[in-house]
Amino acid sequence: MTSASTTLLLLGTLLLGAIAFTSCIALVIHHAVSEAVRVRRERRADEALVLLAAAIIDGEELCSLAALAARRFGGDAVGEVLRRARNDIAGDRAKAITAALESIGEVGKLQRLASSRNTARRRTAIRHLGECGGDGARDALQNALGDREWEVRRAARDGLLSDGRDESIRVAVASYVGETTQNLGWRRSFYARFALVAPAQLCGLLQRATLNPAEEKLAIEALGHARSSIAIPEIRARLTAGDPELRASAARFAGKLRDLASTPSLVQLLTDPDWFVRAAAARGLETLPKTPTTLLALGTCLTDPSWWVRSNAARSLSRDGEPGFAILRTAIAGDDAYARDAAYAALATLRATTVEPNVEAVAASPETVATC
Amino acid sequence: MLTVERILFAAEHIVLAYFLVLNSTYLAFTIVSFYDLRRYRQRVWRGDLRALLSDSSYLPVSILVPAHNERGTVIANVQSLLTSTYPEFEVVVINDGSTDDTIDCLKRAFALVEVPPATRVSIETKPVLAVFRSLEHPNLIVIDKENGGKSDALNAGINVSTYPLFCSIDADSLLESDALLRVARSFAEDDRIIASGGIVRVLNGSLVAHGEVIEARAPGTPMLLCQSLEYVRGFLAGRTALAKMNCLLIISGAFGLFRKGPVLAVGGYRTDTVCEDMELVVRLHRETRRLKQHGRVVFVPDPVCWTQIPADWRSLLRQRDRWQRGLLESLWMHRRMFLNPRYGAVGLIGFPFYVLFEALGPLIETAGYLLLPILWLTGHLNGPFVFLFLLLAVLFGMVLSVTALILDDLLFRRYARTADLVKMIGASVLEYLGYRQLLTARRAFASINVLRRKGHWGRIERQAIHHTDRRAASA
Repeated sequence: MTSASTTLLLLGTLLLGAIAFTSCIALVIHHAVSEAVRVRRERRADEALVLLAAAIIDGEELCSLAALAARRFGGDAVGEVLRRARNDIAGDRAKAITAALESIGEVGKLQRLASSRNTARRRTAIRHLGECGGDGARDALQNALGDREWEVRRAARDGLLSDGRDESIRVAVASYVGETTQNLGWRRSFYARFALVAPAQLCGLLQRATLNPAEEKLAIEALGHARSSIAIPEIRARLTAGDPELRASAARFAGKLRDLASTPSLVQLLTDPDWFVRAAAARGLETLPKTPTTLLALGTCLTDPSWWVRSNAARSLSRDGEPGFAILRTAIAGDDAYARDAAYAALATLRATTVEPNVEAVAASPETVATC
Repeated sequence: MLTVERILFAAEHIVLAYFLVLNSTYLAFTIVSFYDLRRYRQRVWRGDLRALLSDSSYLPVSILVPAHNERGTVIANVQSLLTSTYPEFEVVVINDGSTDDTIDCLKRAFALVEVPPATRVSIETKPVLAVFRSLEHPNLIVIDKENGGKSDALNAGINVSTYPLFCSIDADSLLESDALLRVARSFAEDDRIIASGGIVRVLNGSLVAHGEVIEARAPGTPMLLCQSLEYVRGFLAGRTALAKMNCLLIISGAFGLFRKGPVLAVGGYRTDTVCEDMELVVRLHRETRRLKQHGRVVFVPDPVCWTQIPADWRSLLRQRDRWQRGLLESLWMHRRMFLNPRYGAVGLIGFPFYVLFEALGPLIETAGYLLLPILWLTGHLNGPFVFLFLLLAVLFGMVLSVTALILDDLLFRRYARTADLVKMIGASVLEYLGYRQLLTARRAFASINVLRRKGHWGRIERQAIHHTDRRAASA
């Protein structure tokens, strides 16, 4: 190697050495300082919480106490405590907390940050404004719907949905419909939040049939998970939808919401050409009381080519006491290995949790060795 | 003599070029990771997780826990898993022919009763002796089966599991309570995802109570610190960047979440390999691309699985030997993917990366070390140059390690004590004082052992679920 190479190497070594040394020092200093700041902030927030807790739950003087706490512990700590509290509390107390947040200048500060040029700051401010509530925060959230960053727009929509007022929801839905960036998880999350805060409006949206089947499916799922009984007519109507995935979702949630009137449609769906619809219908029937027709249809499903349909049908049968057990026992004693397998699995699960004596007897029988 | 000189000259330049390409690639990966992780961190925030907890769009998960002679850790592990924050899940413990009283401990701890083994046998496994269910925890299933190794145990677990996602966990690891929620989040967000891995962190040295890490601390010994640093660097810098390009070939066996359908379609875990986790992921990539299904394998940086690492040199070297053999084996099995545009980024970026830097790296690095005495004996050793080169290598490695630590600290902040961070920085220097050389030599030795079989892998020693003589971290 020439001396030129050695010199080059020396320069590289010096440069890297300087970078390594600086990085190490910067990392250690940053860690020590930020950790101290974090601990101090948390301590202040804890102290502020102690001072404010009673007033947050039930107190007239929340605004004055918040102002006192802000002077003592700093606006950031008090703002954080109040925002968190408002997230967990609804009704008049939420309004009182919003008023307190406005009185200590937290909303104003976040509004200023919401127009920052820094995307991360804007996003954080919009998220926090979504937790504040009130007219000032809502205006800022509406403005943020036109932000160039989709994450800021999403945070603004979430905030408006949490706000819960008709106008806010209308604006959030309009923004969602016009959104070009579509991420499945965020779409789900949007409907989940929507179904929790305004199930009636979401049902109205379904009623007007303005959504495509994929969106309707997400809306149905969200309403079903939120256990909104007002969604039952919409869910029932979709049991006969053209889109199989929508039918399957409707079947599953019709059962989850215990809609007795859906039983005939669910029984019909047990013969659907798509296996996942049949499986969902069998699952949906699990929580519903079963007529002899239902039991017969579920018994037929024990020989379905799909494992999921067999499994769900057997599980549904095992949930209904003796009439269902009788069909499962017949299946276990029968020649059909698939039916036997499904019936055995369902009964085995049941036996472990309830120790059903008849099942014990069946299980002990040498003819009923499960095969697959 | 001239020929020898030319050979030495060429070897020197190969080693130098390799060093430059390797470190530049790692640096590029670190930069990609930094932007990706920062973006991830900004996207996922406290409020999101709160919303997600109330959102049941999550797919239910079966947690598979293979256990072989794990009487000491399995109860705490299962108890910890049963307290996971997740809408719907089941825990399937597979006792893989333990010779100790693992199964009796489980029976006593969880009030197990035997139920008839009615399962859908989608993958052939060693015989299942009994299936147990818990009277106290309806979502706990225990399988007792003949010993067949970790892959076989996982396959048996897949057969028994009922949910569309399954998560493989080592019996001596601890999951953070929201880890499952965080790792499964990707499946709720994107239907194309077939596998997702979380970060594995080192448990040794941390404070543990009731199956949960209450304070993360850096391990006490230099060897453990070096391993800990390797984990941080490997996961945060390497895997994030590879996953970003959808060419991640490894989901850690200690903590990975898979969609069951595609795994069943490819036949589950192979039982004739020592690195079943990597082999499965490569096979999933291969099959999904062959069928043009565009499946994605992702890495999620914040769900944490705490694992105990080997605390003695013997166990560590054995572990690295096994990893290297497994790596070579997986790459050899799927060699057709190498630089094959049909497999997209996996064939053109991921696979060559693993071949050039992970598989051949130890051989080239060892050759570099061996070259030094040869150059010295033949009088071609340029002392100042070699010294500077080695120093440069250490500094480059140090910069990469410290960058990974910066990423970790800025975005995830696991160590609250500055002293722990200082220890980790110290490890970035310490690892070049023997640790790295020893592991490299062992990996090179493992590679040579494999290559000596002339492309034929022969019968690879089947291992039961891997165990090292591990020291419990803290009570």
